Amino acid sequence: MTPFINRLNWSYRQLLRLYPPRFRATFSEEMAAVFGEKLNENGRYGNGAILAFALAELRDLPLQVIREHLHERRRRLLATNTGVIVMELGLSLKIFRFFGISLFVILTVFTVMVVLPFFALGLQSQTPMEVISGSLGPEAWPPYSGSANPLPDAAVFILLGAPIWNAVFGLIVLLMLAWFWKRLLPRHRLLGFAGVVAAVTPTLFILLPVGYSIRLWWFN
Amino acid sequence: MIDRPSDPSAPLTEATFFILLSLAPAPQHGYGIMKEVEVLSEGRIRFSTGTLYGALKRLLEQDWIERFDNPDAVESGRPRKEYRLTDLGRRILSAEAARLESLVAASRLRLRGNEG
Repeated sequence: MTPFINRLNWSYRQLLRLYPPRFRATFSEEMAAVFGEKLNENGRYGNGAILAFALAELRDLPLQVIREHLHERRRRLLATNTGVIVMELGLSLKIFRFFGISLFVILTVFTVMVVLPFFALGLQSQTPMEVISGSLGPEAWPPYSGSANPLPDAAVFILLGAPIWNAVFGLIVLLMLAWFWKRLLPRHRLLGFAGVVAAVTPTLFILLPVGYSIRLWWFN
Repeated sequence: MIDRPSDPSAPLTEATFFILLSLAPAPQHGYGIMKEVEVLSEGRIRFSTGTLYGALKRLLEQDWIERFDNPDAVESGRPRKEYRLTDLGRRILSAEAARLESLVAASRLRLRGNEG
């Protein structure tokens, strides 16, 4: 076994910790063994084959982890009387699964990449035009923390990048929609499209001349 | 991806069908199921490890398959875990095969009719 394969095996074992404890206790040893066998099998065709296999595993892992956590929550919910009543009322978690996952991904990425840096820098959102023209100040909308604070380059990057992040989130939801398409009920597909529109609208609002004009008209 | 069907007589997903089919002749361990499904589906279905075990978990919960220790095959000093069809699983697989057969028969009949 090469050091490369050993490292991948070790990494996969660490990633298995993301699964719910009950699932992990039952299947993690077997999964690690199967992963190891598949690695060895791919190893016969070179490092490229190993890497392709590892990437395919990595691609599926987040969805499977989220799926198992949702199943675990559902199982726990059903173990309570309230849970049974809720399920019997037809409030199936399945209805919310797709949208829930999409929202989770969007909010997590948004929080980590946009909101936290904003708070860290003491800034609030501005349009790219306002950033470029330097019109930031107490009078601007939404209120900026104050002209006494110079605008760091990183903040300009984040502000200019925000519409792009939004477009990326929209693309993620769109990819998830395509991925799940055959398994989704029509109402789930509709919810998916609503998710894409919700994610992309701010981008259009900021970047497209029509959206930007509406915004200027609305707030001035 | 395998979902618990609300209707037990609902058609199986292709992945479920192939997993059950791979266990029909004899019990298999996880890696064996993965390989067998790939062969049976002519390479169309390739499970990732996570997907396979998610599916196996669902089938275990539905009592379509069961898990047992095979003392003849030892792995890391412990008996290897293997999977086999339960009676319920075998009945469901047979019912699905019959359903597919009837679909194929109906299709052949109609296509021959059109040719004639």
